[in-house]
Amino acid sequence: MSGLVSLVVRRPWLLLGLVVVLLGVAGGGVLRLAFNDGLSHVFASNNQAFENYVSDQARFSGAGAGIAVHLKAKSFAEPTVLRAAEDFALDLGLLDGVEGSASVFSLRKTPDAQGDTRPLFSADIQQEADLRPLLLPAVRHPLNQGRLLSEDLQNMLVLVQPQSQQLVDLAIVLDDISSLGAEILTSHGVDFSVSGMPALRVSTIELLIRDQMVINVVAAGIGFVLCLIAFKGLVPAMIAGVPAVIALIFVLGFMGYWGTGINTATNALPVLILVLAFADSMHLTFETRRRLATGEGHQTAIVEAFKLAAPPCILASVTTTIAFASLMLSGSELISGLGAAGSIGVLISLCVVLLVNPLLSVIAARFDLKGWTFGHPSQPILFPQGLWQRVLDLCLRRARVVVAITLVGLVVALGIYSQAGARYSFFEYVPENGPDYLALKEVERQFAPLTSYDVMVPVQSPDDGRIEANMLARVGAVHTSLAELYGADRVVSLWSVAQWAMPENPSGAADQLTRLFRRAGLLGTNGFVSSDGELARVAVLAADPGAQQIIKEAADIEATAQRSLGDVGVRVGGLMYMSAVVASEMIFDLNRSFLAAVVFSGVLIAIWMRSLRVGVAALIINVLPISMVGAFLVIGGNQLQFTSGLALTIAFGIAVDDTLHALNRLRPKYLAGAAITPDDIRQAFGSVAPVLTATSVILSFGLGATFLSGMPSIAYFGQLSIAVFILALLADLLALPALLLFIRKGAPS
Amino acid sequence: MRRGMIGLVLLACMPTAHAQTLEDAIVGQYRARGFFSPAPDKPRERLSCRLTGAQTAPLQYALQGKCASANLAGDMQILVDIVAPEQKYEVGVRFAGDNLLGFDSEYTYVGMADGQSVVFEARVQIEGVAHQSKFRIGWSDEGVNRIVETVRARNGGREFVLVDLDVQGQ
Repeated sequence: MSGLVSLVVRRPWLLLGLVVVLLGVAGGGVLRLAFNDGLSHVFASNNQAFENYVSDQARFSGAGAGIAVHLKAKSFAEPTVLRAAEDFALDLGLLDGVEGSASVFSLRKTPDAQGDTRPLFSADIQQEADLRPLLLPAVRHPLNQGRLLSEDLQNMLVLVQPQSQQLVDLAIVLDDISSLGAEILTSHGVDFSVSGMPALRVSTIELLIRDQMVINVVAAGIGFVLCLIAFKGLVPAMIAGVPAVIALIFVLGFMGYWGTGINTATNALPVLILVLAFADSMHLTFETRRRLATGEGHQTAIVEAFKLAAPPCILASVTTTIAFASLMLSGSELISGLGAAGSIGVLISLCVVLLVNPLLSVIAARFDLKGWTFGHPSQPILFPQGLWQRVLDLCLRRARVVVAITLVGLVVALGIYSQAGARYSFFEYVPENGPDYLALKEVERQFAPLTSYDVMVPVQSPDDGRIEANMLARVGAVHTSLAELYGADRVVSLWSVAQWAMPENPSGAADQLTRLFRRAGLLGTNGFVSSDGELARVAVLAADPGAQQIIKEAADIEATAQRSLGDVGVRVGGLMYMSAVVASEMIFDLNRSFLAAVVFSGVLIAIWMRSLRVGVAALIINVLPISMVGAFLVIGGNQLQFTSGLALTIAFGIAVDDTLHALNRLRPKYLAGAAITPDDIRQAFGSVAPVLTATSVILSFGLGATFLSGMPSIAYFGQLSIAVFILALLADLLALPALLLFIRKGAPS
Repeated sequence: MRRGMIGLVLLACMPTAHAQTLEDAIVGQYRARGFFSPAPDKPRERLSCRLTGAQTAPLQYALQGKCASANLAGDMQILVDIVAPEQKYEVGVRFAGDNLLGFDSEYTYVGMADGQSVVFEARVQIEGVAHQSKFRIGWSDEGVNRIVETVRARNGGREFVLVDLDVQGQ
């Protein structure tokens, strides 16, 4: 490492040129940065529920999420209004990228003796004097049941099936739908809103792009301002801040070239890297400036500062890398992708800071900018040194009490934290007051839930896709048993079609349905029976109640369906169920990752300090803030979510940073095998506390930029991380000195 | 006087917006709304189409787009070959979709110009029954304005309007 800093001192201009060239290369990567909501691979894993889901998706047509267009008018019984709605529904089918659409105008009368079905509405319905009596049968139609037209005739739903689930294609279709609505509906007093999962996914991408622009710029701005306040000078603030910004560009460039891109998981990674780089760079700048102020020559000051401050920066980056790498144990491609990107990103950032910070110091010294307050030391952020000394003395005098409180606190917090359950909602990445989410909830309130439990009933059908009586009977049994529990308007299956086709005798409708599907070209592609004829789908419409409730309700539904057929082969599937099961497992995966990170970092510190006791003490100090935040989550009823699991794991890696910088002051004595005295501890913590406080303030304020995120999960991530940083600082300043004194006392001389 | 001359010259050089022939009328973007009846005894259903017309070869034009009813949607392509300019045309109609209501997917019509419309005729199969189809494309100064197709079973059935679309340029 000293070789690197010597090279910086000898060849600053050459290295500056290299940095500029690499910046250009990284800039190319930034331009390639892709944005993705991550839905396509967040659940990708070897979990049985996911494998079933993938298999079901391939076997059922129209399995992709649909777009819901909610039309609102004073009354659709008004002829011109109804005509506009019909024009709109028809024209949706003309849009590029639209597979088809379904609306109240798609409803047809019960088939006649020849099996012909006539439209429910005549083509000239608008010319009728009173539309209400004609529309009300549509509301009660067995294939509608209020799901497409509300009883008060003020709300209408048009469902659009896009051809592709690619976000680029979905964005175009959504835009076209909005333009069409503005063109046809608005002039007739019909309001409309577009929602559904595709709309939420596209708006998530918009949020991700906005977040990257806003959060990183604001965090960098906050970092600079805090450096200015801490160092009371522009030059040291630049020396501390510029390497962090360069590190951010390098990491974004790497993410662009590597193809990780920005998604709901990696959204917070750039700002995390930025604040980490700020903290490291600040440690180096602080030490360099302190040495310059004591009269050391600039070369000596830079080299010696590097030698002292770089090792803990490196070790802290290694522990953060370990924390990120532990995420690679997750079964989710999304989480493991974050782990890989985070581990490499932290190391890239470290290298950039270790190169650029001394480089800028050397250049500043060459231009004799020491006078620009670079060489004028001051306590960072008006640190209350006198008060701190008194508190430190108290902690050391009452070391046993402090240690006892620490250990009791740790045991209690861990006990509560261990009770944490998994909590997941499909919509946790979406702002609750966002227009798309509100529109979706309004659709679910007015009509029916857009999400469902999909009960997969094993059936046997001939190769030609015909519907047979036996198949229909099995579907009917499951459908009826579930309709008794959840309501007839909440269950949709082949039985619903049979009830419409032959209301008096649905079980005798098999041939009729075969004819209808054949005529419509829907044999094998009707969405009710799988293309291979081995499964029939019975959908129970239900709003997302959260993972735990989903798993419980799915078990009830599965048991009911199995009882109705006496067949244990019946199972629950669908996106909502799969995501709940897989997410719950992944959240516990994150806990396992956290445990792995804890063990690794403990071992690493023990080796670095060559003391098992110090390793254990560091572990206690760093697990304490995490377990306290975890316990708080349990008590607050939030339980463990994807976001909290990630935040706690990553924040643990970062929290170790403070401990390492504190231990670094005592390390020479530990390595020499010398006895540690209370004065050694007092001196070490007296000098390191201001800079630890300053870096924690920078980390916390920098991550405070996440509060500006449009995604609630990112703001939540920021809140939890800041809580960990503050608690970690308190643990490092108050409990660690006492703990070090305590283990010293118990140690053999 | 001089200004008047310049005005006349400019007026003479301005391209006419009038569509005199089917070839002139086809080129452009159209939205069509109307009805279709799948059989003489079945009720009319609303139909909406979006079409784009362009010249694809010196003597060939194409109208292609999509048509949708409340239950069906399908792509349509109409290739117009000019056999004798402004007089005789040959039209190939091709449908693509899951449900063609018993129609074959391709038909070929031959048509003669008649003032501001061309009437095409062809034999078509509807649910396996031979029908005679008349396919009339009418146009005005603004372009194609109406497409009407009437069919009659060749074994003497009643003639009915299969498709009747009002067309508007966009």
